[in-house]
Amino acid sequence: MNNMAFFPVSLTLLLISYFSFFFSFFLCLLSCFRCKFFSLTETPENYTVVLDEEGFKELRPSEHLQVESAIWLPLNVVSNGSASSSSQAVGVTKIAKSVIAPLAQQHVSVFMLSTYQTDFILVKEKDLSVVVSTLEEEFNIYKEEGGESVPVHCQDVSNGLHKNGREAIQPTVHPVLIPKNQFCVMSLDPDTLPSIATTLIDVLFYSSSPKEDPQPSPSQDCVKFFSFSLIDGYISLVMDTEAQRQFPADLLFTSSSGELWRMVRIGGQPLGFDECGIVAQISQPLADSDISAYYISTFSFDHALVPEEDIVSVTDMLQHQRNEPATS
Amino acid sequence: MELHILEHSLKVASIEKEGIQICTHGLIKLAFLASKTRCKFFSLTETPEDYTIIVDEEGFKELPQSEHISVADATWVALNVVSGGSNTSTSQPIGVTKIAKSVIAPLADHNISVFMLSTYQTDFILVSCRGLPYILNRLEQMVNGETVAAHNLGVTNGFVKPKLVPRPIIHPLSSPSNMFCVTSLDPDTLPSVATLLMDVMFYSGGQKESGASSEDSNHIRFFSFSLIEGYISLVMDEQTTQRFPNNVLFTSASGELWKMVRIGGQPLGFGEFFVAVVPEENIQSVIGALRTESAAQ
Repeated sequence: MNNMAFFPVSLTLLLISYFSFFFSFFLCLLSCFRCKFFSLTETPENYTVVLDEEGFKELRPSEHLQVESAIWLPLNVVSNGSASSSSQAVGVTKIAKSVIAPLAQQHVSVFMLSTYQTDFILVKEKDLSVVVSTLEEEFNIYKEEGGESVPVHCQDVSNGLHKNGREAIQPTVHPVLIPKNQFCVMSLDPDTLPSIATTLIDVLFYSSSPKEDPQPSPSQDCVKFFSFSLIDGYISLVMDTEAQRQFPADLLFTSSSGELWRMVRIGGQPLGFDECGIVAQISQPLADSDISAYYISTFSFDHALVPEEDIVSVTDMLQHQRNEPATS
Repeated sequence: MELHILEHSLKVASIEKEGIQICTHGLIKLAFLASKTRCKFFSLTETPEDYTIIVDEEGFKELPQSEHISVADATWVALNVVSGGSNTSTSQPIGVTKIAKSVIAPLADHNISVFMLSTYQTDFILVSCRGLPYILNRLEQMVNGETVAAHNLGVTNGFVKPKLVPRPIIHPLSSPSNMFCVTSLDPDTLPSVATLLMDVMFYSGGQKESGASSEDSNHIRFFSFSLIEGYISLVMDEQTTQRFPNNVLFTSASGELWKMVRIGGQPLGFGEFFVAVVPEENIQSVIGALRTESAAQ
């Protein structure tokens, strides 16, 4: 049985229009920052920020800032050494059937954040009891408290509601966009962060004109996408190969295969935070085909990253899914 | 000596400490990403009260409009004195001392307000565009015993020479106890200390410290960064210097330390308070001399 940890850090999701929260971002480059969970993703529309309460204190109210009303808790799955899975896939594919699909069936909305190190499944605080009751058969569930892992059982978090009480409806099949740029998923030794700080700042805040075309057309060659996270001292970066060339070659590291990834952007209109099953409708078929995938949700849209060599089969699979008549 | 009138049209602005957050996008671009902007003259000085920014028109475009930013009405022009190679002065002092009698005093005598910016490399005398015509008329006069030509400058203005004015009010002084370093930095190494500089500039001072420091206050918050025509100058106290890697900042061979004399009890106009730094070993005689002059007035 695998272990699942959930962190009692309350996370806030933010949408920030261009250039309006500099002061706070730079704190994450400084060692004095007490925020332990910080993620920033730039898309053509906006910046999405996920951060804990300490980090949130650093932000000033502004008309450029939209805050998602719910508080979110991050979960992550830790494989036991003894777990012998035949699948070589990485990312959300590993947890599609054991975590994502069951939560979708129980009408739990999730917000995904894949990093170089692990995959975080963010669930709303109010859904925690449903999450625990849904997953406790499959997982040993622990709560991280002061560096210690404390076992959690359904009765510990129960609010008298073991199931969401709603029949899971067939989710909308959202349109997808597959831009041409190739992406790298990388990490960085935190000690070397200062040496690339100006490059990072340049790429994040000065390398594109404010507000590009927010609705890329399906034929569009490239899409602006850059994700930076600093979570519990670990740095993760997702950027396209063009952005990667701006960084010194010896500082960023990736898997030994140096794999390149292609993006599938999910959503024609902003997806919101209540619909369930969006991640499942992408991750399930990928898991069936044993295709690795990173998955990064943002304030407006979702983004799956799949290996470059699998993009043709993924495209066919998703088109087939969209052309199939809906089954009741 | 030659007096150069630089091509920059400069704006002087004050940013409240509470408002610095909204300006960091522009300020960081100006300080650390020079290749992204056409700004050639940028100076940022933090004091206990505020941040003072001196920036050319290209750089000014990078600053947002906000109620936290006060901009002096005037547009300023930068002058700077360049010693001729043949000049053999017996005087060893550096900085404004070299130009006190030849430039600063005559301008004061003719009621021309100046805004001084000393850097590691040189001293800039900022004068309002309104005062420039008179200065141009005076360029034929002697500067340190040498004639400075002003022919063919294409400036005609019919400007009436202002009458001599009485010496101005003597402002109160304070001298905090911290010692300062005037240093520079190779622009190529700027990225390696960028996060440290950002920390010092924007995150280490806290929101609005107590206003004008009294003379018995031990230390004062003061940090100055300038990037002018590709040259970087930094003025910081000794404690701040210790945060930087040993081999990155450079200063004069003597590694001289400086003490500050802060001029002004109330804001003086334009850039709030004025500050002079003098060699640490001279601080007592400087204060004595200034107090003597104050008493004589």
